Amino acid sequence: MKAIEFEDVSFRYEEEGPFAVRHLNFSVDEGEFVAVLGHNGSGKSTLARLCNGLLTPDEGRIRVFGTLVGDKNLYDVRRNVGVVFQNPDNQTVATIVEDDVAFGAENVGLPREEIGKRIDFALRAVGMEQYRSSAVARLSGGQKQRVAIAGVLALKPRIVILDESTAMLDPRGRREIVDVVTRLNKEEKITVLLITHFMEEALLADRAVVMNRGELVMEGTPRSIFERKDELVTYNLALPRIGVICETLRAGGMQVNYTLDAAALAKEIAECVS
Amino acid sequence: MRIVAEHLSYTYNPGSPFASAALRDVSLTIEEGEFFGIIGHTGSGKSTFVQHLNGLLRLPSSQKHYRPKRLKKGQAPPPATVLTVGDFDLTDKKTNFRALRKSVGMVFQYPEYQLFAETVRDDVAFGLKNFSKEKLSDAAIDEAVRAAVEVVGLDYEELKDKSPFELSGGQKRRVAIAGVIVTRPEVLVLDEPAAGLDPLGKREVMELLHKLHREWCKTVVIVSHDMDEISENCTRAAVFADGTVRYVLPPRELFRHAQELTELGLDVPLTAKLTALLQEDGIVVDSDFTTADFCEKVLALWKKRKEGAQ
Amino acid sequence: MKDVSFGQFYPVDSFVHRLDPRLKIVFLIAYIVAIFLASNFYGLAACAAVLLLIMIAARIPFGKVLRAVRAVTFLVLFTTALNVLFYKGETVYWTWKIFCVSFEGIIFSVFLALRLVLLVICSSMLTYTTTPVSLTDGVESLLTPLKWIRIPVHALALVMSIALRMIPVLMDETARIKNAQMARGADFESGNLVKRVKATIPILVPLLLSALRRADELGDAMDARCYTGGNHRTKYKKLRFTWRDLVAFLLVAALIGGVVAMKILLPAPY
Repeated sequence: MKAIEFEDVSFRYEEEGPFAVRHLNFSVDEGEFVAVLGHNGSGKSTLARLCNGLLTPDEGRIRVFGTLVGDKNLYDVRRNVGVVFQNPDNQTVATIVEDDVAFGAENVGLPREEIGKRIDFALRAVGMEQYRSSAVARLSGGQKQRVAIAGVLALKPRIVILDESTAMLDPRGRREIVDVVTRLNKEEKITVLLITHFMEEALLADRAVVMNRGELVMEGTPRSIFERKDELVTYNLALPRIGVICETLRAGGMQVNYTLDAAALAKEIAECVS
Repeated sequence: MRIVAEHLSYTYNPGSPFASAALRDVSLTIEEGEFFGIIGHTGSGKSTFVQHLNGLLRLPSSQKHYRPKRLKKGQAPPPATVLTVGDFDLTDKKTNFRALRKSVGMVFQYPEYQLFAETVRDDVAFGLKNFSKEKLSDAAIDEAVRAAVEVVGLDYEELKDKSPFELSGGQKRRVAIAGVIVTRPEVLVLDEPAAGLDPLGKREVMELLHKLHREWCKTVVIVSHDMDEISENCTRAAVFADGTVRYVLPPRELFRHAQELTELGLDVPLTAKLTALLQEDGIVVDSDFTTADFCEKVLALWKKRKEGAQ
Repeated sequence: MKDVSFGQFYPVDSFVHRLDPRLKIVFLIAYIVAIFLASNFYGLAACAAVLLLIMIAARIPFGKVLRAVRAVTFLVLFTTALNVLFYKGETVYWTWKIFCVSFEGIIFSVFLALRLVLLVICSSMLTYTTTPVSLTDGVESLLTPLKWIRIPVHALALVMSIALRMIPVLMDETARIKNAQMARGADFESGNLVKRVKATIPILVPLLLSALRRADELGDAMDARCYTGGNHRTKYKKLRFTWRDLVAFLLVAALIGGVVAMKILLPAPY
C-alpha cells in the first residue's frame, strides 16, 4: 500500500506568486525510508506541510494511506502523519519532558492510563526514558529534538516526517536523530520521510529524491543519485565528501569501485596500492 | 594583532548553586595572520573563550573568584592571568573596550537574526556610526558601506534601500557579516559561520572568509563543528573539551590523533578516518588531510606500486 | 543564563513540596486572611509560629527566606516611618508641625511591619515549593468554575504554560542579540533617557521578529500534534488529595480558628 501519494500537486504561498511546488507526482511506500534532498528554497519543506494538511494544495490531490487529505479529515491524517520541525526550541509546549510528550495524546482525548503507556513507549523509542521528569530547557539540542520526536510518536503515527530536523544540531545531535529515525523505520516499521540538505544523511535511506524549484528532478537509490554528480551540482547540491574522494581517485586512473562506506573504500584503496 | 591567553578561567554564576566552570586555566596564542579554527562540543568552553576576545565577557569583574583572598603559609600564588589582543590588555579595567571591539569583529551564530534596521544601508552602517568618534558625513558612510557590501559579494546599488528582511537567507547572512566588517577590524571571529546553510551556501561562505582573510582582516578565527571545514581551511586549530584546551596544532598534525579525538566524542575528517583504516593494513598515507592532498598521495602510492610491478 | 531557574522554585523534596498546588494556593489566601484577622501580637505570634513550622517542613534554608524579605526592606521601612510619624496616639513623645511620635504609634507601626513581613514570607513559600507547571495546573483547576460562564480557562492555562516554557528561550535570545549589537559598538549604558530608549531598538526589533517566528512555528507544531482547543481533551496529570493535604488542611484550619478565638477571648489593645 502507498503511504503517501502526490498526484500532480501544485502550491504557492501567494496568489500570483511563484510556485513553491509545481506539478509534483511522487509516492512513498509503506515502511519505506525516503530522503528528500534540495537546496534552501527548493520546496522541500513545503512538501512536509502538504503531507499533513498544514498547507492545502492549489491543484492536484494528496492521499495518505488511500485517504484524500481534505479539511474534513485533517484530524485523522495528523494522527497518522507526525511532523518534526527544524528548531528544537519552537516545538515544545511544556516545561517538563513528560508533560510535553503527553500533549498530542491529550489532544486526541486518550484515557489517562493509555497516555502513560504512550509516554513510556515514546521516550523508550528515542532513548530518553531517564529524562522523563527533566526540564526541557536544560537538554541539549539533540535531546530536545528527540523529545520532539517522542511527542509525535505518542500519537502512534504510521508516518514520521523530519522537516530539516537536523539542520540546527551539532554533529553529535545529528547522529542521535539519524540513529533514532533509522531504528524507528527498522524496528517499529514506521514510514520515514527525511528532509535534509546533509548529503551524508541520505546514505541511510532506501530511496532519495532531489527537489529543485518546486519540481522533483532526480529519484533513485542514494548511490545512483550520487553517481550523477554533474547533475547534482546544477541543483546547488554537492557530493558527500566520500563521493568526492572516489571521483578524484577514479579520475586519476585508479580503479576503485564507487562506494559510500568509509571501510569499504579503505579496503578498495588497500587492494590497489599494496 | 596577536592574541595571547594564559591561565584564563571563567565561571558562570559564581557562588550560586548554578555555578559552572566554563574555562579552566586556558592558555592559547593565536598569531597575527592565522586562519584559526576552534573545535569542541556545545558546552566545551569554546564560545566562552571567543566572547572574551572582544570583552563581551570581562575579566576584571570575574577575576577575584579565582584568586584566594589569603595565601596559606608556604603556598605559592597562582600564576597571573594574561589576556592580550595586540596592545589591549583585557585584564585591565581601564582598557578602552570600545576601541577593542572596533578592532575585533565578532559574528555570532545565525547573524541574520540580529538585523534590525529599515534598509540594508542603515543596518550595515550601524556599527560604523557607533564606533566613530565624530559624526560621519553621508558620503563617508556610503563609501564604507558600499565597500563592505561589495566585498561580501552583494550588489550595493540594488540592495542599499531594500529592507534586510526581504532578502534570501544567504543574502541576509552576507549583509550581517558586512555589518561587522564595515569597521575594518583586524581580527574577525565567527561562531559557526556556515550553520544552517545548504552545501553550496556553506562553500560560498568559506570562500568569502578566505577572501576577507586575504583582503580585509589580518586574522580570522572560526568556531566550527565541521572537521572537514577545519581540515580544508585552517592554519591551526585548538580543541576544547570540558573548559580546557587539549590540542593546538595544524590540521595535518592534529588529525593524526584521530583516536584521541574520537574518544573526546569529536568527529575527524573523512580523510583522517581513511588514513587510520589504511594504517591498520600497513599503508601509510602522509597527507595534510585535505581532500585534494589525500587523493594526490594515494594516487602517488598507487603509481609507485604500478611502476614497481612493471 | 538558562541555568537560573525561573520563579524562585527551590528544588528539594519535602512535605510541603508534595502538597497539592490547589491546596497551597487556597492556604496562602487563608493565611493572608488569618494575618489580617489577627488584631494583636498573640495572633501574629501564632501566625509566625505556623509559618516557622512550614519553613522547617519545606526544608527551605533561612537565608533564602531572608532574601525574599530583603527585596521589600525599603517598602517596609518607608511605611513604618510614615505610620510612626502620622499615627495620632495618646502617649506622645515628640511633636513637630503635623508630625507626632507616640507609644501607640510605634506599637501600631511595628505591628503593621510584622504583618507585611509575614505576608511576603508566606507568598514566597508558595513559589519556593511549587514548580511553575504545577502552579499553572493549580490555577487552572481552581478557575474551572469560570468555564460555566464561558471564560476559556483551558486556553488561559495553556498560554501561561507556554509562556513559562518560552521565558528561558527568550532570555537566551535577548542575551545573544544584546551581545551581537554590543560587538557592533552599541552602547546601552550611557546617555539620557531618550537616548537609552532609542538604543534598545536594535535589540527589540530582532527579539520581536524572533518571537513572532517562534510563535508561528510553535502553532504549526501544535497543529501537527492534533491540537484543536480544549474540547474532548484529556489530562495526563490529575491533581489528587493525599494524607499530607489533610494534615496541612487541619493545621491551617486550626490556625484560623485560633486567631479568631484570640481575637474574641484576648481583647488586648495591641
